[in-house]
Amino acid sequence: MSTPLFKDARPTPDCPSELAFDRWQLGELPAKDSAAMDVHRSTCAHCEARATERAALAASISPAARAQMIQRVMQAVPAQKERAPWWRRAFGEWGFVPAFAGAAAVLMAFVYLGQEPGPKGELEVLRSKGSVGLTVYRERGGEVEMVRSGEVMTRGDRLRFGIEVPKEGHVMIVGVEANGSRYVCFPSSGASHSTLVPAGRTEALPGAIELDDSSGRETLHLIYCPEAFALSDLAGLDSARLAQRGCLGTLFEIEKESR
Amino acid sequence: MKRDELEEAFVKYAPMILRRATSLLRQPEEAKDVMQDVFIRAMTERGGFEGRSEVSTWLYRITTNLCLNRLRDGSRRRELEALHLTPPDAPLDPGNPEQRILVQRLLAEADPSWSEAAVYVLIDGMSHDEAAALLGVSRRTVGNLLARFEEWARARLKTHLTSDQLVPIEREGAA
Repeated sequence: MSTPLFKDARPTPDCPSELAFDRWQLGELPAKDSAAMDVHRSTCAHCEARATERAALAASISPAARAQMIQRVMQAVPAQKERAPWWRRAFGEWGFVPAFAGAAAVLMAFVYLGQEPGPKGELEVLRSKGSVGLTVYRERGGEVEMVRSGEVMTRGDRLRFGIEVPKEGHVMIVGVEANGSRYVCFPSSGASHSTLVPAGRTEALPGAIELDDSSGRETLHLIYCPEAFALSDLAGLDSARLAQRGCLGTLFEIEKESR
Repeated sequence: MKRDELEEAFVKYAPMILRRATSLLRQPEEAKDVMQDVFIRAMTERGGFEGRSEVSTWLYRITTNLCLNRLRDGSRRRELEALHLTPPDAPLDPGNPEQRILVQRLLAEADPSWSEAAVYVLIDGMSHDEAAALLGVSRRTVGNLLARFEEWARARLKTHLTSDQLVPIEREGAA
């Protein structure tokens, strides 16, 4: 076995990570974990020293320095007005652009990037292999909300997307219906090529899709590649070949009910 | 956010942010600048502090990324590169003053997603599960990010880290 690259960051296996220690001090740990920390802290010299160091650091921020910094922060942050959440505004400002209705079948032998789905229940779901993120917003009856992977959708629900990519690159969002039909959600229903997006988070991509009355589980696949690609490039490619091109992917599941 | 709310958040979280920034940057004044930037970022991000159940983890991640950005910053990078470093035989110890610059340099040069995972697990001592929860990825992805970082870092340590250029060790005898 080769030598570890880094010395073990924890003096003892029972010592918490730095963040866990901070959360314990802030009272944010669940009661059970917090009680275990209380016991550990009372017997661990290293953690005793950690607490002392933190107390000294907190004391080093004088009231005057604190007031000064708060003043600078207040000056740097533009005045916040009462505003609706940004995704509500986004829908209102950009309007709804129907991107597809029904399954625009894009028949391709598309094998999606092999990856395990992330835990359900997270608000921003399913990132994998280097910070590719897909966030889905649903507009139903005039109300807009962020939805979770696996959530039940019905005919007429309108979806918009937010994404996060590690570097400037090219993306496409492809939906796969329960019967295997594929359709392009982004850049547009008729698109055959990816589109360039900036690095980081794009809160709301332009355009939206409206769900049809088909039922069953559908998956939405965000595909990101450093270079531009065509829909046809995805045909027959397996995950390994896509990965060789530096492509990343993530998926989002929806359960469609026909009502 | 009103001033008194910001003050309350500041009293509660500033020490954690300052400690976190100091541990990565090792320069108190720079760490204070980061602390200020973290609060500005937190207040300008959507929703600010409102409605967040785990503010500390959110701020922790913002702080980490701002610090890594500083390490990648051109002038800081040149400062790190100006130092002649010798890769140690034993595992790197970020707490060792002589080795921390080498660690900072690796973090500055590596792919950002690898660096962030490396900071949480190799420096902060998080378990893969903890890092996965913080990064919003699966445990397996954390393992993959670390493996890539380690593979890259080991290869990187086989090069001379001089001020001018990187010369692979293998070429040393051939020159």
